[in-house]
Amino acid sequence: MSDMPEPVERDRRWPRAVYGVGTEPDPRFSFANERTFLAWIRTSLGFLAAGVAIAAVSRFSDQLRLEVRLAAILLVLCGLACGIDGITRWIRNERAMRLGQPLHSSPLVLVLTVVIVLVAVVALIVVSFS
Amino acid sequence: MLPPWDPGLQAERTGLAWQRTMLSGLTTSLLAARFLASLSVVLAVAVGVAALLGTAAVGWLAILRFRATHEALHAEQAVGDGRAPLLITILTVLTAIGALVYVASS
Repeated sequence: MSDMPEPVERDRRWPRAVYGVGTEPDPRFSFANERTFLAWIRTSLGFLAAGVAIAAVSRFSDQLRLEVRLAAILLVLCGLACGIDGITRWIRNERAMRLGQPLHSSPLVLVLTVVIVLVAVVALIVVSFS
Repeated sequence: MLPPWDPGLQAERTGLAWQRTMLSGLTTSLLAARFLASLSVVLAVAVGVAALLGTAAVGWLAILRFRATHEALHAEQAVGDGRAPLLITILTVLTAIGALVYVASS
């Protein structure tokens, strides 16, 4: 299974920076990479939904307060970053697997953790003093 | 229909991952449409309709992609392509830009 024959016709797969190099990996690893990409997209959508929701809910009762707006913007920016980082990771990992290189890591996980903690602190302040 | 390609059902699981991503996209965009209704009903309906059409298109693409992959595996051909991930990323980035405009304005 691991050494699939090269296709006879011209390879039209995109991007060429991935499919133009190395050898075909075990398809199961490519599927796992694709599912990881999709998981990042869902994480991105989760951040976007959270950002929009807290902005909308706090607007029901009051003007959007500065700290709530800031938290909402941070969450949405995290969503944007997850979306872009997701496909970047997918491309780099697929390329690394084809070249037999170690997989890349991303500093985004740390950034996301910091933002979530920050937003949790803001949430704690808002629910405690309002 | 050909039997599953491997006992781990990798292609099937990946197909299901596409489905739940599609449903996450639908949920997020319908939620956004609902909140937008307090600002503009026309905009909310437009976003809602776009969400439904987009979800239908992505679902259809996911089915076609699963079938093509399934057949390619059985034919011992190479699998994978970056166009569908690119499309999903573009849709997500567009949603993010819309969300950013919503939370930063008004």
